[in-house]
Amino acid sequence: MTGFANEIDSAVVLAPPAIADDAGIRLSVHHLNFVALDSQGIADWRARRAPLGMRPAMYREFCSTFFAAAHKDGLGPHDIDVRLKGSASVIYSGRHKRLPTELNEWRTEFGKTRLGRPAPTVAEELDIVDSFQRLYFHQPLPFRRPFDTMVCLKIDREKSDYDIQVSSDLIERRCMDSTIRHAFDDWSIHDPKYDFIYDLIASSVINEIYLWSHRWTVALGRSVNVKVFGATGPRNRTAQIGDLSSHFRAQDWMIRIPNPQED
Amino acid sequence: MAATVFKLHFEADLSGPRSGALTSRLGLTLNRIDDWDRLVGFRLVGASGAIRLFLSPKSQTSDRDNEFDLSGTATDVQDQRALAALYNECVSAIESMGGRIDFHGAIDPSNLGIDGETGRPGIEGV
Repeated sequence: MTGFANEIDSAVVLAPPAIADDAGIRLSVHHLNFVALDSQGIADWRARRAPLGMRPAMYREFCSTFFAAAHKDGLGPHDIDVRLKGSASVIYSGRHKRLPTELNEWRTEFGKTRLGRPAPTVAEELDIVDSFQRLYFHQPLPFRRPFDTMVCLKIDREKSDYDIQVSSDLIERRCMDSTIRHAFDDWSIHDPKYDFIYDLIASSVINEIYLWSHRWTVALGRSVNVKVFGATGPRNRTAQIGDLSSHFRAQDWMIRIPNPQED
Repeated sequence: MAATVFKLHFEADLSGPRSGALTSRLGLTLNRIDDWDRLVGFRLVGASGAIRLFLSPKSQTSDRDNEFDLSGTATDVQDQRALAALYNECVSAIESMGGRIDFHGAIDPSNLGIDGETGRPGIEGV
């Protein structure tokens, strides 16, 4: 032990904490390159200037147009709680989604992202193997899936999406009154497992917010999915469904009307 | 305020290329489906309207993934009429894919007093 053992390097203290998945595997430059993210994107994400996949100016427009759409639906900022969920806000997918590293896992995941669940062709499997090899040599591999990994592996045909969680008592009451659900329909307005209000009903009540999501899906080339809940958001169902439970968390990424002084 | 011009519940085997054939015929942009997503695709109609294809809530309760809902919703009256004019085309597209529409409980443009063929106000007017 030297006399310098207790000295603290200021650079180390000021350095931002490393980004790692829940298994402690650090996000490396290679991983970033694999999913085509750059250091500016990570810096903007850390400062919450923009989620992954967007630049700050675009994100401000994303937020301001959301609240304009909500206004058209008769909702003020105080009527709704809006959060960004998913890997765009936390880099990694949830713990229920392990990075697939074997052929049978690739086949299963390939089918999950396609309606009708077809298996990949031989050519598609070769593409996946080829993509995976570019990642494989950068050990240790992440245990979870960093943002956009599945499309870069050519398992998913779509980029990672933006999950927008909207919670509102007013919307919920309107959905309950919606006539789109017929009197003899034997299903509730809420999904029994995840608590969200079915999109079929919600989109008939907050049409403009759904139109907003459609326009941004087209503009960004990645899906923007809106999920609607009652005012207190989804219940904490961690015991039943693990990381799929999307209850409010202190570290959630809140979507707010942008401050014009930032423009 | 938005109005739902039509809602069609149907059963169909959309496995493999069949889903692409239906969404292509309806002109839908495909949405990413993952975990709990239910919106299969959408098509913007005018400035305030959209046709949307969903995995049906019924498929959740019956644990089947061959039940769907196709809806047309718009805020402006002009776009509601444009949606109404697409109603027959939507019915035809579903049926041509072997889809079985449950018309009991369906919403069609006549509910808003719009003619489903021309998109013009019907006898009751709007």
